[in-house]
Amino acid sequence: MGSDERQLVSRMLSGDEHAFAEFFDGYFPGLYRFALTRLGGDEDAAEEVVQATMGAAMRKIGTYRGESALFTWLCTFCRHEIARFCRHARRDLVSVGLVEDDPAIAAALASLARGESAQEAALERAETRRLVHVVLDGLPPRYAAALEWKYVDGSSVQEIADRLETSVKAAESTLTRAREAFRRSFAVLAGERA
Amino acid sequence: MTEDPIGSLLRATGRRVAVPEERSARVREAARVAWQREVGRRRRRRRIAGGLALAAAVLVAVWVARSFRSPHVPLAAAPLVVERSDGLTELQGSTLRTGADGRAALRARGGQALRLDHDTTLRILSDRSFRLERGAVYVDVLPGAAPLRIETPRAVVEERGTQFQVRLSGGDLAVRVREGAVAVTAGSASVLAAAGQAVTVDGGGRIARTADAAAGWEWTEAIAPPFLLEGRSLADFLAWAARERGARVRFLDPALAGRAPGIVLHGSIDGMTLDQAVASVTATSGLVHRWDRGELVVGAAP
Repeated sequence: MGSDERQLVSRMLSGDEHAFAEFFDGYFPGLYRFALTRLGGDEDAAEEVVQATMGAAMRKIGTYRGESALFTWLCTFCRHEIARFCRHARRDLVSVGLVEDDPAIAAALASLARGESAQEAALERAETRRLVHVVLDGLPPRYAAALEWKYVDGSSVQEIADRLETSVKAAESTLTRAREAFRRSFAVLAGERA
Repeated sequence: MTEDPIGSLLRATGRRVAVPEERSARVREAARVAWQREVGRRRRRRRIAGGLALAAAVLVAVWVARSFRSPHVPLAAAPLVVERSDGLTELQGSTLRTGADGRAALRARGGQALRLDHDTTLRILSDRSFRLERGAVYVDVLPGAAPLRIETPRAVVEERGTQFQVRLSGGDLAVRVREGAVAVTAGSASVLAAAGQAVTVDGGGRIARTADAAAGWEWTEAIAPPFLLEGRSLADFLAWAARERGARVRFLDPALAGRAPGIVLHGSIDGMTLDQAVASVTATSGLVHRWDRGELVVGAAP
């Protein structure tokens, strides 16, 4: 996935409008949720922070080299903007001990997004819903979308292929990789919390 | 149990929280503008690296007066700062020259702004007096600043606190006034032109005043020096944007007009066109705007 994300950034730098749309649609919602969780559910604050994050990221987009997953790279900017927002608003950061803020888990999510192997661990417990969504946000956007379409919306493989603008065979392959990526990432997250 | 456990888990937890459409639209617009700005900045940088290194060099302040030769102007009294250059090909002594693709924006010590269009040659006669030998120059003198004088082979143009442009085309001179007034003197004839009027002087020295067409000012926006947004108020930004287009700001809501000076903006609009900058600032401030017959109309987003 690293190579795909580098290509996406490269297309953006060439001024490709489709690439920008793919980038924004793929990464903005996850980034918004990332900020929303850390700002205590304050939607206005999350919007302001993510807008600042996007602005900063666009100014530095030419420096992205693919060493980390693009979402992880964006989260780095987002953390900085959250801290700045809280300083200016004289507000304390929400301290909820987010499991994905753990460096080991963040690294596991990043490695997952790059398509690398991650350690197996047993699925155990709590915060399941939030963890599932955190894992989905950490996946490459196509993987997360394909999983939601398949299992939440109940879409057929043909419908998923149509939405991904690809063949049925390629959609099946995407679903297989997405399931594997999800399984590994969720196992790591759940295992770290156990 | 044959059911896919991942499927069960995803079905049980449901969809992720969706981002409200209007929030997404606002952030998308801001991100898109930032992206376009970065793409534009990189393209400009490549162009400069490709052969217009001189343009980059003159982006820093250049003290033209250093090699000034006019006996009427003290050297230290006539500096011109090059605020922006997209191809100022010559900056020697008292002559400024742009090529077929070049433009430049300069500011005199007195605050008067000058912008040079393509294929323009402008000689500096003093800190408030210039001679247009070819092409076109746009002048913006804020109220209270010292007046400027533009000499041409056809006539002398003296401003009276205004925005105007002077263009030599073939053997003819056209002076167009967007704000304030200018006096155009050709030989013994002198005509005063007010906002919305134009004066032409042909090769035979005949002088005529007409109503001005609205179009033909776009190039002055294209070479406008950057507005440093960070920390400035919304009122300052809107006043600048409106002035760049020869317009005035009108707030739909008097309460918004009262709040605008206290709304502090952050970020940068470097590299954006005027339209992109206004769209970005208003959208991210929860405002809407439109350009309407000489007015920049601003109101709260519905």
